[in-house]
Parts: sequence; C-alpha cells; structure tokens
Amino acid sequence: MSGSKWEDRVIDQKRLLSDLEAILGKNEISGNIFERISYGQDAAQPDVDPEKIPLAVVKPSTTEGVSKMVKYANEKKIPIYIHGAGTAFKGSPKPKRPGSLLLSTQGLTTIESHEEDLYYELGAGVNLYELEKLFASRGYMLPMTIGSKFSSTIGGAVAINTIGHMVDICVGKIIDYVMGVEVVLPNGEIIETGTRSIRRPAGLDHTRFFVGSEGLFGVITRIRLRVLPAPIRAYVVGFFHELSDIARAFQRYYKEKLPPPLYGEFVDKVAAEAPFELRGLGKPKGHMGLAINVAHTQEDADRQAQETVRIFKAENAIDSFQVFSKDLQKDYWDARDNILNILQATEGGQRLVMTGSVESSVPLSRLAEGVEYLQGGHHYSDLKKAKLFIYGHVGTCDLHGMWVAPVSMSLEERLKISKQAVQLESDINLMWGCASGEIGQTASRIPFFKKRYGLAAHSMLMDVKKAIDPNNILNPGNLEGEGYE
Amino acid sequence: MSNPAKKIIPAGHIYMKENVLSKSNLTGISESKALWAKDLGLAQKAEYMFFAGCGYQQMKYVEGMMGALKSAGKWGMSIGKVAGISKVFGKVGIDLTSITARITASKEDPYTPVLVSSVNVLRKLGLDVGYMHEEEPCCGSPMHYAGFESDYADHAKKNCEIFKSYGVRKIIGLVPGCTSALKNAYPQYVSGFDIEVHHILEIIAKSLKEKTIKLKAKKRVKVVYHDPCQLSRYLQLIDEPRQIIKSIEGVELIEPDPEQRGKWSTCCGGGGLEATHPELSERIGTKRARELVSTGASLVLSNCPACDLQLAKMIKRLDSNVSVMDLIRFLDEALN
Amino acid sequence: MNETDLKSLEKEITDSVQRCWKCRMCAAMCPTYEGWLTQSTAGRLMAINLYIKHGLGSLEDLSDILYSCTTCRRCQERCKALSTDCMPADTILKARQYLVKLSEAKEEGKHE
Repeated sequence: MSGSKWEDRVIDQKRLLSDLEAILGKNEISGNIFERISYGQDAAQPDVDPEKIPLAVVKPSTTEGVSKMVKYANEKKIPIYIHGAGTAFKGSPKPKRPGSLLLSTQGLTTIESHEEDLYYELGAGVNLYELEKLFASRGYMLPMTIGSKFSSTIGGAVAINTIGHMVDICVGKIIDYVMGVEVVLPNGEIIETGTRSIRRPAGLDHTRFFVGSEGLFGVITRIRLRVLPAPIRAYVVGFFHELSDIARAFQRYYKEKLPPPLYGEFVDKVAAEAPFELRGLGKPKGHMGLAINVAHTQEDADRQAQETVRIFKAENAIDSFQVFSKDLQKDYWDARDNILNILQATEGGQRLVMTGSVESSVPLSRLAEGVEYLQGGHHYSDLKKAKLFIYGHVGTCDLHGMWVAPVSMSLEERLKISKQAVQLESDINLMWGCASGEIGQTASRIPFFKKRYGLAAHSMLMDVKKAIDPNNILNPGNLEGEGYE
Repeated sequence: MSNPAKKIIPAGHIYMKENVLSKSNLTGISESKALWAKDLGLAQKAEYMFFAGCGYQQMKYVEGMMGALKSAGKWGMSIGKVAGISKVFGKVGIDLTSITARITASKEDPYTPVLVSSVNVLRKLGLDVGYMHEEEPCCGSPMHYAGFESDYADHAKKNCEIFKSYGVRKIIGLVPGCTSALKNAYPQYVSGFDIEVHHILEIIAKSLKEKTIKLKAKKRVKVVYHDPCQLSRYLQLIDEPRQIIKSIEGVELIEPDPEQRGKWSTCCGGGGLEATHPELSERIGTKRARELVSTGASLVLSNCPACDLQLAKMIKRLDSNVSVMDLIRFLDEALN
Repeated sequence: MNETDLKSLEKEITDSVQRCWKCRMCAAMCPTYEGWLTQSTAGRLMAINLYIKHGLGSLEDLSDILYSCTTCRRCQERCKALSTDCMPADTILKARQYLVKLSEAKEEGKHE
C-alpha cells in the first residue's frame, strides 16, 4: 500500500508471533491465516477486507496475560481489537486498521460464587447461555436476553451495557447489576472499581467509565455481577391487524401505570410465517404481539397478564390470550426470538439475504408514529424496493427493521440498501431525540452520534480517549467512525 | 500415480476410497464378509432384502486396521505409506491387508452377534429377509464424505444395477450410515431409483406396536440411549429406538440433557475421523462418554458400529464400569 | 469439464456462506470446537469462502480444517432452528468435493 498512512506500522509477523509466544505460550496464540480471518468478520458484512485481517489472535486465560499483551501492544504501538464473541453487528468488532492484534477474552472463564453477598464474580469470557443456565439453576435470572446468547460473552454485553430484548424500565440496564469490574488499562495496568456491598458508591464510581465503553478505555477482564432472584412469569400473545395497534397497546399499558412487563415484543405477520411453520404453529392470524409479565407469585403475574390481554383487546386485537402450556410458551417465544429464521423463506424460489437493518428508539408518546414511519413514512427509494420485516422490543420502545433481498441481487444494490437503512435508523433516532438501545453507538453509528449530540460532544469523547489511551491502541477507528464517513 | 491429492486429501480417506473401488468393502479385505450368515439359511432373493453393511461385518478388522495404522503412525509411517506397501505386496499376490487384519483382529468380537441378532429379531417378528451374502456391495458412502463425489455417483449407479439383477424392491438396512446413503443420497444420483429403503429400527418399532410380544430384560437395568448422528439427524429416527427400549420390561431409560439427545445428540467422534484425526477423535469421544456415564445409567445402548466401538473404548478409558451394547443385541436377548 | 465443475462448486459454496449470519451458534454446537474457530463449523465456512474469493491461505491448512469435521450435522440442525439455515454441514461437504476436484485439476496440470 504505497502512500498509505499505515506504512510506518509495518510489523514483521514472524517476530510478532515469537514475541507473543514468549509472553503467553503457544496455546494462547494463533498466527494461522484461517483463524485470523474468522475473527476479522462480524455479522453485518459477509467478507473481511484482506488488508485488515489481524496479524494474530490471542486468547489469554488470565488477567495477567491480558495485561502483558496490552502492555506489549502499547509499547510497539500495535492496534488491538477486543472481542468477546464478536457478534455485534454495527461494524464494531471488525479491525479498522491493518497490522492489528485480535484479543479475545473467551479464555477468561472463571466463575466465583459469592451468593452470601448477592453477587458472582465472572471472567469476561463466560458464555451468556451457560451463565443463564447456571443462574436459573440457582433460582436467579440473568437480567438480559441476547439473541446471540449461545455464542456471546458477559464481557461483551457489559462492554456494550446492553440487556438485549428485556424492558429497561422493568429490570434496568446491566450496569445496574455491575457492582464493580477489573479492567486492564491501555498502558497494561490492572485496576479494580466499585464495591462488594449492594449499596453502591454514590458520586465518582469509575465502574461507569468502563461499562458501556465499547472497549475504548480498557479491557474488562472480570465482572462483579449482582444476582437477581428469578421472578414468576405469565405469557400473553395477541394478533393484530396493524403493527401500530400493538404499539398503541403498550402506550395504553404504561398510561394505566401498570408494572412494566419483562418483555414487550412484536413481529409482523409475514416475518412470523417461517418461524411459525418451523414450530408447527400454523399461520399467524395477524401481526403478533407478545408480552411476559413478571411478579413474585404466579397469581400476581397472572393478574397482570389478564390486564395485558384486556389492553390488547382494547386496541383491536383479532385475538389475545394468556398462554399456559409450557411448550406453547416456548414455541411462541422462539418464533419471535429466532428472527433469523425469516431468512429461510424464499422468494420466487430464491433464498433471501439480509441487506439492511435498523434498530431505533422512540419516546413512548411517539411509539405508534415511529412504527408507521418505519413502515413507509420515509422517502428512501431503495429501501422501498426491498422486502421489509418489522419486529422488535416495542414494549421498551425499541424498533427493529430488516430489509431482505434475494441472493441474486447485485452487491452494489445491496450496499445502497444497507446505507439507506443506516440513514433511516439515524433519522428515526434524531427525529425525537433518542439513541439506539441495544448494540452500542460506535463504528457505523458515529455519523449519527455526531448529528445527535454535536461535534463538541464527539470531540470531548475523542479527548477523553486520547487522555486514557494516548497511543490509540484499543479498538482504534471505532470512535472515529472510520470506514463509515 | 503421482498424487498431489495426497497432500490435500487425507491419506486415510484415499485409502478407504481405494478399498471401496477395488474390493467393494471398507477394509479392502478379500475374505468374505458374509461368514456370519453361513448357518442362517438366508435366501438371496426375498421381498425385503437385508443390507448388512460393511460396518458390523468388518468392524473387527477395522479395529485391527486402526490399531495397525496408528502404530504405523508412531513409527513415522503415514497411512498412505501403509496403503502403498499393501499395494506392492498385492502385485505379487499377497493380500497384506487381510493378513494384518486377521493377525490384529480383535479377539472379542461384539459385532458379529449384532448381525445374527438382527436376523433373529426380524424372524421373531415374522419377517424373513433375504441377504446378498458375498454379492452385497459397499454402499460407498466413505467416498461421499471424503468428497469423491463422481466416484460415489458412479458407484451408486453400479450398485443399483446389482440390486436390479437381484430383483431388490425393498431394503432393510442395519448400519445407519449405509441406510441413509441408500435412502437419501442414491435417489439423487440414480434416476428412477425406486427401492423402498427402511432402517431396521423403523421396521422393529412398527412391528412391536402392531403385535403383542413380551419383551423382558435378562435383569433389571438402567440404560441410556446414545443417538448416533446418522440415525438422529440423517434418518430422523429419534422416537423409534426409545419406543423399542421402553417396551422392554425391567428397563429404566434415563435421558441425557435435552441439548445432548435426539436431534441434538452429541457426536461420539468415531468413524472416519479416527483414521484422519485420531487425537481429536479421542477427545470428542471422551466428552461424549462423560455425558453418558454421568446420567447414572449402567448400560449404554446404541445402534451404529462406529458409535459402539468408539463409546466402548472411551468409556473404558474413563475407568468406568458402564458397559456398551448394541440395541439390536439387547433386544434379541429380551425377546427370548 | 473440470473448469465448470470447479466454478459451479465455488458459486454454490460462496452463495451459502453469503447467507451465513456469522452468529457462530454453529460453533457452539460443533463437537470439534475446542476454543479456536478454525476447528468449528463457523471457521470452516469462513476459511473456504475466503480461500475461494481471495486465494487466502494454503491448501494444506484448508484441508486440515475441512477434514477435521466429523460430518455429524449438529451445526445444520442448529442453523435451521435458530438462524438462517445456510446449510453449513452440506457446504463443508461441498468444500471437500471442491478440494478433490482441485487436486484432480492440479494433476492434469490445468491449475497452478
């Protein structure tokens, strides 16, 4: 790459690998091209940029290992891209600059129980699904539901401060459960934050610098997570003529000051067809709304569920009922949760691919309006050419849209749709002063961030980043929005 | 033939392919694989043709062959070299594979009884099957899994000619891998393929439902059933083996974790992988062995020659007393 | 004839991987997955895809990765139940067919 600004960072890969092996040992590093490729990709785009494939993948099994790795990279000015499982799909896991190290925290898998103090200490690499099962076996509920839980890690979820599908005002965001973290700073120093008491520090608590920091200020290696006793659930399903009716139902629900449900989901009728068929549920009678009410007893949960049914019906549900059978509860939930199943549908005998997606939040009073805008109130012509599936966490005012096209559509056309989707996502957030609530704000969302909060706010963050990470070692390019100008 | 393929296709797969193409069996042995049936009086033509498959018929040699190949590996000889040497001897009329295999053949042979039991069980259920004896070809599926697709397609077509010459209209397969090859793959390569292919467990389960036959285990036992990949995912026979087990008096069926059974059954790592990646195969097998042993059952039942071999070996390595038996053999004992 | 075979296999494989979501739930199901993605379904798909598209990596490495699969099909079940059903197990078998055809073509001196 002649004339490239990266030329002065040409690194001898052989030297690098032997240095890494000396630091971490052979079992925790890989220089194999195929291993490096695997980590150079994420869900959003099909292919990696060959010039940006990381030079090596490292998987330390201890915090000390992470510290040594970061210190080495900082000294040599080698960029590090941090992965839990690398499943975020706004472009943040992909290396933005060549000659990087891919640091995976999947090797940090310790689990320490401190139930007498109401917390667990977890290595950042603990798998979400395993954690969910462990907590359930102990009578607790993991306060998040992530679609990719089978692959994702607690470290990744905490770095994004996400709870996935759950309703924020029912359980809070994951930061409300993070009593403290252990972090490796960009200079390699290991620091601790927070408290061991369920009374958390008021005022300056540097836990907040790192939870939700999207890997910009440090590598989270250990998390002190408060446990939440598992509540009792009641499931409600409703079928509607219009998607906006479901939105109106939740608006009415909150207006009546009812306790927030744990989940408030919806999925459009067409999107639900393939997942329904896969589970033997027949054809959806209309657009599906799904709510899970929670309480300390089944009686209370059921009472809330009956209110939900009443409200669904008041907003013109074709049908609405509480679901009592455990199998049906799982089926309806899975039909909504496994939204990727819609990509198994065919159009004209051709398989479908995702071409663009939107994840936007709206104020409660604009919920129905937001749904209608997503459906067709916008002016993006290429988006109107592709098939749109709407689904999402309507009960927490978070809307998803996915545009799909047959595999045969040319890459350039698909990129056009993808770009317009990002712009529409940004527009909706901007319209009423919100920001996306599930997968973070960096990388592909920096153009939005600048518009939403202004260049002064972005500059401020860049200054903070420079102060904490002067060599711009950790996830460089993500805060800058490189590649998404 | 100078073979750049050797660097790209694992030698173990090339070896098995050459065996299938030259001798129409997995191990390349010239000796008859039908000796187990010599006193059973099976006709060569019947409405239902029993397809035994190379697995059970040659597993005792496979064990020996794997052992020899692994030792050869230890002495720095690749599987390819062993095959090469075998060819050289073959040119002068010495069937080295047969000799080695016979010398190293496992003294304890739990596989032949499965074949005999299959016929016994079917007969007790009123079904007299035919068997092609030495003429039974290899289904060829090792070639499919290795990627030798055109060889496989040709082999399938040739086999169908053989089946036609025997007037075969319905097949009852024993080895799940062979059965899925005949049922799912052959119709794709052979136009007008109209043979009805069933797996033996399908037939048995149906029959048990229709007839009232007393099934009683020799003594009370807690069993766990291991779903072979080929049965659960390729043939979708998940309920049938369980129905069969549950109909045997004195048997308590314990199930593993839902994510480790049925269509999610954890692979045992046996079969072809042992020839190409022996250490990986062992690690996978140990994991599965642990899952099965931790259910608290004292007997593992399965119905696949590769799984039977792998699980028996791996459970033994765990120093566990849990035994492994093929479901058909267990069923035969319960029918007496 | 070899050329068309190779080209059509390339298209089938890359089309399948295009439909892959990179969710890596297949890797969580793969019996050979021991922490490094190349020894899992997800890694195998990405490897063959980028070998075909960009010529990255060596055939020997690719072979080792592709042939360490046990063909158990657990990944395909998972992909169908939870994700896009991009047929990962079938794609890996197609990739093996591709390697066989490549080695045959090499023998005939048609490929580099």
